[in-house]
Amino acid sequence: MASPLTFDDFKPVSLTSEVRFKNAYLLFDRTGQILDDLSESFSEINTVMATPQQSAFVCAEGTFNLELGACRFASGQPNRDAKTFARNSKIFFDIVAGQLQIELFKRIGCRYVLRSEFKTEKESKEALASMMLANLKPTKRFNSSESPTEVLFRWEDATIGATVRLKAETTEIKMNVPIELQAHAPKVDKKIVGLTLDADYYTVAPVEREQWDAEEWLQQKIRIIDKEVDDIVRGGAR
Amino acid sequence: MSDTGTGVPPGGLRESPRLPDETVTSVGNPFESTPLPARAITFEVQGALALAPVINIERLYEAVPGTSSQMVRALEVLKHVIELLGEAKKSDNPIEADTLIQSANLALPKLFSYRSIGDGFGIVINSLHYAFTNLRGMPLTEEQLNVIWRVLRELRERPVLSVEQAVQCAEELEERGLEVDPPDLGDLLDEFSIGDK
Repeated sequence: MASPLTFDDFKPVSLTSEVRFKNAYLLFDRTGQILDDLSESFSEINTVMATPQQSAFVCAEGTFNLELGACRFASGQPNRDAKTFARNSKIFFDIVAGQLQIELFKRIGCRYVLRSEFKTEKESKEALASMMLANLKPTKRFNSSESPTEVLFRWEDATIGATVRLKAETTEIKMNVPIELQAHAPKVDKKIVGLTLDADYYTVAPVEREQWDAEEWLQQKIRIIDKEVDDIVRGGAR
Repeated sequence: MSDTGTGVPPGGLRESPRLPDETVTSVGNPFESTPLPARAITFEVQGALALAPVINIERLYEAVPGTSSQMVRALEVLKHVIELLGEAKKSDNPIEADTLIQSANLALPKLFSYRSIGDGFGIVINSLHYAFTNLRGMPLTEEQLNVIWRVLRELRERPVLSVEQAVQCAEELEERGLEVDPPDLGDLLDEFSIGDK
């Protein structure tokens, strides 16, 4: 049965690129330099968190996260033109790899989260069930729901891996504003009901720094994710 | 392997539950599961990664039908050039070998148009271009053919090579008697050195 949903029904929520590496202890000395270097390419960077082992910076383009064995760039306003995201990721990874003298990446990954909103959780569950992804007869299992509310696939070989997950869920956004500011900015309390589509494409085999052009790789992989996920959402009819 | 991360875990350093090998996200992980106690222990042999074979360049940048990636095109041209030079290496007929080498030489300007891949890439292609130009029609020696073939293979495996490594490649070419600087630059340098004397 063809799914009534199409890929176009899903709106981007976040797009993340990440590299992992052997613990780079130079991080203890060079976080500041990395932040300085980033400031030359990104305006108004703010430090969200700075500890010896982990730091996070935000700017208009997205969030930078830096850890002893990984770093990532996330954009909360991804559009389907991946070029800017890929370019920003490249700037960040080039700076980090240069400063921390990383020559080998254990894993590089690109994760794309999208959501199709529904009025009720029941509707989103029905939409997921209609996709018939799990190929199971709808019947009550584990004395719980009739159809799975979450479906997860993983494809992996010795080189490349990918996961695609779909989940009918309600996301709650709560932000408490300090009492003295509540007159100016009301607190945020919002619920988003929908079907979350979460695709993660990653390498299994190590990647040498001199092999990897983040801008090219990310643009290519985002296109692959788009294409494959579109096919899965349409019922895998390819 | 765990998922690709997506940023700052809510509430500081505490990690949100993740699937094995997921890319971490800044919005937290909507897919919660009961954590396994074994997740707290990481079995990693120090230095083991050094022995793991790195990814094949063709798997890293897979050609996607209907899309045009500069890297994929550059790798295809490099593959073609390497094959031509490989055939030239094997050929017993000097005229046939020279024809193959000339065909490879003709592809260099195309590779030069992909120099935005990186400064190192541009330096190697430039060096090869001038190495051929400075031969002024003279055939390559077997040693020179071997070094060019080897440098191109290295470039195909590591197209984003650093400037330092690209300079090393250029030095390898020079060690085999190939001149990698522009002819005019050589004349200019000679003039300056004469002027110094």
